[in-house]
Amino acid sequence: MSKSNKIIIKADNVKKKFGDFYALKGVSMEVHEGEVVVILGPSGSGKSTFIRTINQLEKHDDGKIIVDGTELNDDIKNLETIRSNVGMVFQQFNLFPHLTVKRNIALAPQKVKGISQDEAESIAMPLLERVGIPEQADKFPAQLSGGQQQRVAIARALAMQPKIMLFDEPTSALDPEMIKEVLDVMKELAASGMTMIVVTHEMGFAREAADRFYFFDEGLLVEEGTPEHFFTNPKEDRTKLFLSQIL
Amino acid sequence: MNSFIVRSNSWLIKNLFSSKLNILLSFCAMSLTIYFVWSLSIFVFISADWKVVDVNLRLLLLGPFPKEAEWRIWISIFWVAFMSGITYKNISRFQTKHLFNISPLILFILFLINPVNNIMITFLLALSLVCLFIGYNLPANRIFKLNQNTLNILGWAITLPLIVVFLKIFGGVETTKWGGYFLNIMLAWVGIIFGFIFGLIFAIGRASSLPVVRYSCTFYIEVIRAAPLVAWLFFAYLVIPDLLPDIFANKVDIALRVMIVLSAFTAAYIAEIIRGGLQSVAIGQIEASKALGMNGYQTTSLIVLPQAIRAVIPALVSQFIALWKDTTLILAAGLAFRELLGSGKSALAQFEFIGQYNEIYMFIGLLFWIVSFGMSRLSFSIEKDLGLNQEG
Repeated sequence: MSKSNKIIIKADNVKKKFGDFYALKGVSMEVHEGEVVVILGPSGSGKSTFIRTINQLEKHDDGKIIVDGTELNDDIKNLETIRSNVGMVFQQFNLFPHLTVKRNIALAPQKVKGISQDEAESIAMPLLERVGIPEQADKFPAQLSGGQQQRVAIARALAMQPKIMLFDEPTSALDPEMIKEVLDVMKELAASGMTMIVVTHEMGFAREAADRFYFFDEGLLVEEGTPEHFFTNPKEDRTKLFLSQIL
Repeated sequence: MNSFIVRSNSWLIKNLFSSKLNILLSFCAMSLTIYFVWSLSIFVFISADWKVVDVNLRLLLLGPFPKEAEWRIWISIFWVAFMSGITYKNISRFQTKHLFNISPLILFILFLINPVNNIMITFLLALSLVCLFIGYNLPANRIFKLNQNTLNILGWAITLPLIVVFLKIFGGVETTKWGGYFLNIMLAWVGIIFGFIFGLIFAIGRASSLPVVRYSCTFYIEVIRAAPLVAWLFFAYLVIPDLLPDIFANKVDIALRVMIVLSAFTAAYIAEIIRGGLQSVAIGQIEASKALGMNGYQTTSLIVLPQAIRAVIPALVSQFIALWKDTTLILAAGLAFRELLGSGKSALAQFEFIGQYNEIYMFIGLLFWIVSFGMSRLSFSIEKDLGLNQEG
């Protein structure tokens, strides 16, 4: 895995409040280009909220987020451009049910980048091959299994040629026998040098693909380190407790 | 043949006579059905005197529409037939099954116009069939260098304005002379198109994040729905002229006012139906669209609306059918028009036909049913096309 020293995401003391509840109480993180980051933590720890602030599906209330050299704040004019550089894969896939698989992938390049429909669809096929389901191109999402849907969702995000990919518990809604096919695609993506931030409980994948681990609890970044560090010698008690529960 | 009898026998036993209760119910239902079909047939074929419909056919279909201007309607029919041909080709290939499905309609029309006595009308009807055939076979998309779907939508979009042009050019027919079935069709058509467009706008407006837009849309919907359609028709007929300055008062076409009321009324209901559809679209859809970099307009028009409208097609079509039948209410508001129901009443007022309610109302009912049923089938086939409906 080739990693440059360029910092592509810089979060500084990010806070987010839902009503009176602080989902993020000041999180700071730096992600280098090409790095694969896994975020761990119990549910309600703010890990999903944090990655959603990176493409501003949630606006942060305080702190600073810089993505690929642009600071995300209220003055930002071309939020759409930033978002098209940051792909996102959701727990519930969120494919567009009224469009075929091919149209799901081709829609955003066609509308956001303004290329022709034919050109956009010619982007779709190689991506479907990359995720291993070119034969499903003309089906509708509801006709696919969960694992296939999630792979389409990954292809759809990749179609915008993003610099960063965010994964929000991508395998949590899948049946066990389908998890591997999705993780294989993610491993291939990681090996290709994509910058990835992954919220997951799949420790096998994390151990194999991740460069860095971050452990969240109660809206705070509790501990960070290499996978090696987490598996052999975690420092914080909360980390130890969490790892003992999921491993 | 034998196996057919065996199969139908077992079907009958399984579905109609499987238990004592089922035998009883099947027997009652069959007797009732036979009784009604029998007495209806007696009435339709023996005791009814259809002369009242025959003599007043023109009045019922066109009202006071001038005879010398009928070509305007024929041109409109030709255009609609042509567009239907294009659409037919776009949505399916020709199948004999389809011909069989519409054969009752064709028989009904032939029965109605009596081809032997009305050679001219028969010829013109045949000509509209030719237009349909041309529309089906013309490689129109290649001529205009357009995608089939775009051509279809564009064609139907210009149809209504085009018909208005056909009716109006070269010293055309005043709207007060429109009448009969034709008037119902025009009113419903305008009401459906504009009701839908404005309904869509109000629905989106009501979901807007700008308070001014949201509250004005809500206010509009609540005010319109607070009064019955008849009241709004009175409003258009009696109140609007008083509100306008004297110079305009009699200038604003009464037909136009009725069309505006029908559209405005329908829009409020359509808006609420579509709002229901908007709420049914999962928030994740919007997030996925935004995460891909699509802006608010793209998200609404490409992701949210198509799903919202799909979800509410049955309710929308119900509303359209309701509007279609509500076009008769312009009679109740005492307007100068004679649409189908009004024309029927005038026919019944003729001395020689006094008391022939059954014939007239049955005929009018049938004409309304044809369009209502057509709309229902159309929505059904759209739903099937979209894979929403497994039935039938």
